[in-house]
Amino acid sequence: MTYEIAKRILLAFLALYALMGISAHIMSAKSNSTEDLYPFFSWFLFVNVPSRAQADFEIEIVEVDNQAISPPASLENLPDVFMENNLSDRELRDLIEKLGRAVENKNTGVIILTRQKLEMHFRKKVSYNMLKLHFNPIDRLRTGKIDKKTVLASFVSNLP
Amino acid sequence: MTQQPLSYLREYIFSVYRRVSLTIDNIVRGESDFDKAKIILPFFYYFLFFIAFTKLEGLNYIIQNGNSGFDPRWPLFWAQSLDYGSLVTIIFLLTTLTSLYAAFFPYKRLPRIFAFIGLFLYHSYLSSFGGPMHQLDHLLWVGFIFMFLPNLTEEPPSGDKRRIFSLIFWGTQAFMLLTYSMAGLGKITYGFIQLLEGQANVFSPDAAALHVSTLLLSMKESVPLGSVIIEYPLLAWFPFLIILYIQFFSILVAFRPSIHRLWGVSSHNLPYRNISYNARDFHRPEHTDSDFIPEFPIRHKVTFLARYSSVSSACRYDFKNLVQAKKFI
Repeated sequence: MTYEIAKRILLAFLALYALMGISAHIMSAKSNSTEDLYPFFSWFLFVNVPSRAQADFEIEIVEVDNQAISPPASLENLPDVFMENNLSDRELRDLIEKLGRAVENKNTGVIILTRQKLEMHFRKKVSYNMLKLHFNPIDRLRTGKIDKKTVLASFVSNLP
Repeated sequence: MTQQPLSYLREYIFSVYRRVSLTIDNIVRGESDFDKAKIILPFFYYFLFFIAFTKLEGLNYIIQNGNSGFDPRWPLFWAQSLDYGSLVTIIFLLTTLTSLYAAFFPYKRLPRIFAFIGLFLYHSYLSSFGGPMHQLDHLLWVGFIFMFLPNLTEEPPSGDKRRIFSLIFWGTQAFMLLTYSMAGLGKITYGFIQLLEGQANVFSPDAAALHVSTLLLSMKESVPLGSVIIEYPLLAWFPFLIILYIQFFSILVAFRPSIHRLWGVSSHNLPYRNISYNARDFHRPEHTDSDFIPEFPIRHKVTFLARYSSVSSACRYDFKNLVQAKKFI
């Protein structure tokens, strides 16, 4: 292989990589999936700037063993008070989001299953609200401001 | 009628190619750049071996965790006939042995081909759990390009071989810089899309603060620099745009070796960059060759080594720096 041929192949490879990478991204964007042209990659990472108007689900604890919590507190802020310590923060967050989406979509089957998965970790009888919070992430971190708080549903845990 | 625009386009592409080609010829001379590239090359395989060897420690744990969600990528087509434990063991051992082989004989093509195959299988395995895993992408493709380096069996190598060696080595630099430019292209493209849709976008003064606050909220964590950016979003605006600029034009650095160091410092070491573009781990830069390093206790040394060995700093670094790199090991 001569120098000139090597140079052409190299430049062609770089151009091909860029083309394949971008094609992979277009494919996955069109099909709204993680479909790709392995092992090519577009490197389009964190391309979307998060919105200023965001929404999130939260579980608000209202009562524990018929004792009112005043003011009601987020489950994620006081889990070890009445929860088994065998759920990671990530798993707890996933469960809350799953339950929140199911409540919003009125998906009864998923609600029952997700509640069971969550409530099996409660040590005590717990009354809680499923909330949907609307906020600007910068304001929320800076001042704790929540623009809108909607109670999607209220539950009482079923102790086994 | 349609012939003319096509011939213009062809002529334009050829003129760009000629200019690029001429610039490469001026950079790649097969002289001192060859000597430096030759010294750096083995470090790539030392580092590859280091990664593969240290991963062996977790082999039993990985096997015990089971194959939940394992959907083999096409390079693992042969995996169907094996049980999961055997497959993982074969891949991990193969990666270790092939990288060790290449670490001993980095100037021969066959060991480099084996090392690439081992790395490719390992990469495929990691990418077989529902989505691609990009942390080793740079290593993978650099390993791929290194396969095409000529054999350096004769001493001294001919002038043509020296020049091809330097050229291929330059190609790995260009590849890595290209990926940064692609990352910048993505951000700019989506920036315009979001701008047209009236959303917050990459050009917005609070773009960095939005990234940081969203991530911190999802992680339930706080970091000192993050709090500053959230309190004063405008403070991060200008650095954010500079980072975008550096990313997008990274590929041009391949043709301007004199600014390699400036690029290296600006793209790798801006602490702001880590906090703004880096999603899940605030301690590691976005998609760099040091991506796979955070779990190592001697991270800084390894990062340093990685940069020298896996080419992002490459053949224009002077000999003094290479000696320092050796001392670190």
